[in-house]
Amino acid sequence: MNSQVAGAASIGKPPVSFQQVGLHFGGNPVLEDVSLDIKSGDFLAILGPNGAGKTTLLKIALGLVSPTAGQAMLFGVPAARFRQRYRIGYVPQKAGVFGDFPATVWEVVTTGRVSRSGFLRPLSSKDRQIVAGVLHRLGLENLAARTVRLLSGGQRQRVAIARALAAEPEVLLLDEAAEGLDAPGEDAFYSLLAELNHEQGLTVVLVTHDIGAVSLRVRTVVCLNRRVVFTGSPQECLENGKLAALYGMPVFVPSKWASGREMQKSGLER
Amino acid sequence: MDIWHYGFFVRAMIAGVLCGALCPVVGVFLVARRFSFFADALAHVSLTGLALGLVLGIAPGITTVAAVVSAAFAVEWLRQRHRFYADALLAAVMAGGLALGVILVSKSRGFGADLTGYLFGSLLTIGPTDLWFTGVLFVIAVVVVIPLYKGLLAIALDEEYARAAGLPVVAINAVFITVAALTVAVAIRAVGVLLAGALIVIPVLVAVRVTRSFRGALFAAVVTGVALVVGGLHLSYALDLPSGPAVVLLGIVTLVGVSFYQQLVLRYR
Repeated sequence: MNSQVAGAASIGKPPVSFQQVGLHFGGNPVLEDVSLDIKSGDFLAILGPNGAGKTTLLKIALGLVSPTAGQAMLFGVPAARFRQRYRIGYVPQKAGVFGDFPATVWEVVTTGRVSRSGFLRPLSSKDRQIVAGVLHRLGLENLAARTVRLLSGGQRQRVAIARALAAEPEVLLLDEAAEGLDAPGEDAFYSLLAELNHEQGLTVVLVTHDIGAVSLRVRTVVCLNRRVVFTGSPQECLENGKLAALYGMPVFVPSKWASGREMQKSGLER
Repeated sequence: MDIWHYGFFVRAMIAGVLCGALCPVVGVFLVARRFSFFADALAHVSLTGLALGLVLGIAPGITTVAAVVSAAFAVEWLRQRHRFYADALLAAVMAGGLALGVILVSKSRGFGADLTGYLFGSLLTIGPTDLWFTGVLFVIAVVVVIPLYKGLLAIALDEEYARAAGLPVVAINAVFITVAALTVAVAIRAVGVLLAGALIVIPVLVAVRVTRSFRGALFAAVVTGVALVVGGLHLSYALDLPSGPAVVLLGIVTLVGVSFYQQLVLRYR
């Protein structure tokens, strides 16, 4: 009920918005004047080379890092003061690790429910029902009693997404979450995100330096290199040589991802 | 005569069981967060607290708890600021606590005879006041940890995620390290400054080898902790051994035994 009221209050406000965000660390600029509105229902990739500030930007949105200039807004509320954290699901970098301590898939995923149900209340039957539903949705129901550390990388990645979805978020923020997956695992991972975006209307924002894996699947690409250097469709991004400018070298995207072309040589077409 | 007719043994057993149950509860969360040395470092700082009490003429129990709780908050603050050096910081705190403690001890008089008891524990000489102290701390820890379990689990599995999910991580951590510090103060009475860390960590190491869930590890660690204290005290009485080291050595033997058994099962299954 609360979320419906809160949702009504924030209708029309972008779920995530950066307003002239800047961050300096030890005198060095990490982010400069980043302004970006992420629309509800978008499937968006923030692309950029190592050190471009992608992860930092995500952490600013999550309220984990405070910018030195500007601010991030979540549903129209400054990130630092945003209390309805359950509306933002987070899949961190190396999310598949969860330490070496024994914990079952069920236990890990129920920790994701805490932001929705509160950490002091015991899990209600509704909470359990929702967690069970998420496990079923992600094909993890048979693994619920298994120890997470004994699962494969791809399965652990699904557990991390399940944990984020357990809070029934409206936005999913993923930080290099496909790192370490093999090609089929990566394919399954992006397919799952596309399904969640299409079928449930979940706003998906993923941060990655992996151009090929996202270029066909996402709706919007944001190229970041301390500043936003491009925002548009994947096709525009590939055709206008933006990637070459971003990475400072010609970028080759395998045909599988580049709308049927044999080999797209972004940046060499200028 | 049956040893259960001796008041000192009954008191030792009650205090030991409470301690054996409490220490692994804290230990599970410390080990999961790769922060096992925390307990050891605090135990060493307790010597400073103890000696301060003797030098200043204040009840050593009070100064010990004060020193351990202050050190716990100092270490947590340093850990938040210098995440990557957490283990080195703990080593420094541990050495510093011991060094300051020894210097203060050397300046106080009439402490020498008790030092062995503080360093290695003296469950068998525990008095009614200490028993009450242990009981009250046990109740406080249980009352605090049970409602915080969900939050502690989320933080233990992934602290950054817990922060992003809006959990009051700083507040939960503050409550937890206070409980951890009080637990160390209790453990010192049972197995002494030098072995308190062992009673907090060893039952957890045994438990993680035989369980696959966090809750299972917590339960198995508590059962192991209690069994080690009960077994250790009996050994101590039967073989005339110091009680603290008997408990800890029994723990090490159990850990090695369980590991060896698992290797055998894996090989011949």
